[in-house]
Amino acid sequence: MAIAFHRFCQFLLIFVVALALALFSILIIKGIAGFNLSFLIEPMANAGLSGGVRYQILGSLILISSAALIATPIALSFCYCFQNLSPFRRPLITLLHALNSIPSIVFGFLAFLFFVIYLSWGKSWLAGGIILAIMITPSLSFFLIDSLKALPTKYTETTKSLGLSFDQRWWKLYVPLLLKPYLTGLFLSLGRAAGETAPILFVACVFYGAGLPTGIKDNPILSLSYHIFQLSQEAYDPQAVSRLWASALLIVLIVLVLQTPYYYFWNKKRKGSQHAKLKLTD
Amino acid sequence: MQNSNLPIKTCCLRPEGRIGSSLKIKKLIASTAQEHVLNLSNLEFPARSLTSIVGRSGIGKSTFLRAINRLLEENPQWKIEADIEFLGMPIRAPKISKEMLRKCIGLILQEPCVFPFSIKKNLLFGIRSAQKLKKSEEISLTEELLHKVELWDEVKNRLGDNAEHLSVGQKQRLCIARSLALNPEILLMDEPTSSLDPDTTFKIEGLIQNLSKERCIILVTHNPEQVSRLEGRVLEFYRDDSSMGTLARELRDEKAKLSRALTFTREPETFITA
Repeated sequence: MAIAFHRFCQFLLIFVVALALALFSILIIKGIAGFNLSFLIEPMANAGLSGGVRYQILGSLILISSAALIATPIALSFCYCFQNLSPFRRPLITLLHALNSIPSIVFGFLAFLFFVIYLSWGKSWLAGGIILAIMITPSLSFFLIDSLKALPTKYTETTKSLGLSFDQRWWKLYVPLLLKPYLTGLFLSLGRAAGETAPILFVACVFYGAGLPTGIKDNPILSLSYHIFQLSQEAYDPQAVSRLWASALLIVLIVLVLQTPYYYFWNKKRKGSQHAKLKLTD
Repeated sequence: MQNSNLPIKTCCLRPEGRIGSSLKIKKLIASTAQEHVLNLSNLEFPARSLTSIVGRSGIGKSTFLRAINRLLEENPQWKIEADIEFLGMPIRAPKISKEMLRKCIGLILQEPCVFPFSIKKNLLFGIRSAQKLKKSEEISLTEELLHKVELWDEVKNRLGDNAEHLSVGQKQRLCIARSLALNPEILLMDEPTSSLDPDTTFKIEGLIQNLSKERCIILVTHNPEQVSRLEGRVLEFYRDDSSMGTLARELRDEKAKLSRALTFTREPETFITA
């Protein structure tokens, strides 16, 4: 029985690894054909059948950077409240979990009702940024709160005994120490936001006819994920399919690049703790 | 007096300098829901003095230190009834805030706690939050403090390095310097040498002895030899069956000081009943 279970686990592992490798190789093999410099820097032409994806890349970057700018103060203030107002810890965590569990399509629908219909913004890049920010806030806050919890308690005692008030402790100790985890968590969540399609489909994106935004109202934006969605609707056209693969490869690469800091800092942190342990035993 | 040429104004020094008593404990009762921990009364700590506190572990020595600088009362499970005067002023007087009090009463922990910043930033961590210093003042203060704790020669070329890479003894001296930067009236030390090797311990003891000439030092220690090496008063925390919590008495006789201190670490039970 034990051996059978062992074999079963091994089989599943091999299956998953093979699946992942197959996915990546298909993406690369199919995508690399349409992947060249002009694809990256030229604007789209002929309804996506020729030209490149310049404005799609720029649009995605604008969306995720506005999301980052909006999510940062929110997540930091959640973290501040978590540290400062201890009776609110439980409700805050519950709220964040609840927020995290809302499907993205529901977010998109709610944002549509609020921004497009109630505020009559039309399709706007800022609405997309806001809704993406709300989506990444929970994970970013969890990341920050966990890093805060992981700080040694003697830091708090020492800073208190040096006569620092709570706000001084927050700005002089916690915020500098949270910088690395913040960046790590931010890039990790932005990687997720870059691939999100459902929420921005309602409020921010169009397929063509948009460049860089010049205002807020009625300023739609192009984005890679929406581009992929639209191209896949025309999957019978071989030219569209080649661009579809190239765009898919590109978005995977962007997400990978955004997640790199996480792996970098994470490994460094582990190495750091090992170093500390060695020093203690010396 | 230290820092005399620098405008360090954090400690509410009396105009006539450090004379008289720094700390007067008329009454200090601290208890949790489970047990009575401290039941002290009529203790006086003069300025420019060294008081060592001995007693078996768990008797409330660290609790005592944390009650003085009001760290204890932030933990809601403690019930504290205190009548403590710091420089003639009740420590809970509305005139003096918790933060201000803690700047005047430094606390050195058993294990040195440095932040993962540079040595210089660690050193000036407390004072920077208390008052604004000019660049030149920071430089002279850094040098003065590090000379005082005899760390200058070891770190003068690497003030920008991460302080976590220092050895434990160096870290502890850095912590003492960090507290001294605030020019505290009283320095509370919670077994500052327990995690150090003998050589470093001697260094820190010398430092403590020197510091006690300029301010009031309350030292909690587990090391009986240390008590006999250091000059100054020795208070012993003890419990008897009838008391509600820990009491304190002074060990006056030098010889009794050593032998008792040696006894209580070797045979705690017999000593308590004796």
